Amino acid sequence: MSYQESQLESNLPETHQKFLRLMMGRRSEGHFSALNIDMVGCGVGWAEMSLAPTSQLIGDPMSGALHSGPITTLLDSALGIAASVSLNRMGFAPTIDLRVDHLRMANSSDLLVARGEIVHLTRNILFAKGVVTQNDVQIAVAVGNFVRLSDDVLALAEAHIMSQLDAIDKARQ
Amino acid sequence: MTLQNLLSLPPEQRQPQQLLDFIPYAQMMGVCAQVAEDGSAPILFRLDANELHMGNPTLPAMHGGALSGFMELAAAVHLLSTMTIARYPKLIDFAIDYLSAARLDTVFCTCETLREGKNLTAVQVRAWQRDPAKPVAVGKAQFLCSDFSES
Repeated sequence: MSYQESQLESNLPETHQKFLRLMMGRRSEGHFSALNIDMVGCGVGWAEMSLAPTSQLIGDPMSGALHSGPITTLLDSALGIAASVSLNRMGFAPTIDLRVDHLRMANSSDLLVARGEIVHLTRNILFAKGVVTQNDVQIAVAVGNFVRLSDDVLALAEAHIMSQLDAIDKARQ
Repeated sequence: MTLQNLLSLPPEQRQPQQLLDFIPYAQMMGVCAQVAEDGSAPILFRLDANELHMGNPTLPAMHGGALSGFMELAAAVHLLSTMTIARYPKLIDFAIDYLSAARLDTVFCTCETLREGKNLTAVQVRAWQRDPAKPVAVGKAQFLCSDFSES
């Protein structure tokens, strides 16, 4: 699923939408493109992302099972973006910790979908949880906590991100 | 040589780098392993700086998931290099604490077996970048690594 087909809640601020467009638009580089990670949708308090596995992501060549690393990456991304879009300013929310329980093996051919949700938000911390499914079967569940940066740090981050976005937009034109 | 052949050898004859060469995800990530000549030190795992590990495109930082994936791989290869198991260990859970922002730079890690049981084995992983005294992340894994039959 491409970004164009994905759903973004219309109540997200323009800055958030712009950032997410960039995150998903840069398909040619970074860890998202290396793992075929795409945005499925997001809104305040939640985000859904998908990962299209390839044989390059196999962890156990004897069983053909997907490695746990891509599952962790997908969850860290979905929970982290759910955290980022839950704040008034488009900064980022660094991961404090993440625990992933691998309920069953994932195969290396079918799409994985992760949903991250914010369960609680305090002045300093965002508490999140998430689940990964493959063919509608739960593969992994996770809990993770994220830093809620102070408003002034977020304002600086947002300004930095916006200037980066403008530069990237210009370079693309 | 296949992975199956390699795992039929006693653990001291399995070279960590050789094990990594059989794991597609390790190849994709670019994970390397070094062993001290006398085998006294723990295996040193290394992930060289690469643009493909980048997370947020507006910051030159490593994706937390890439760092965790590297540490999860290291933990499994550490077990395959030290335990008499003939199958890739099954990861039950992995908990990671991020201690400082990982730059897009070379990252190292070492592993320590905390407990080796009949079925369950716990491994701790410590990762750092330039200064070994300043870890960027610590992780703890629980593996099912008896010589399980396929479930």
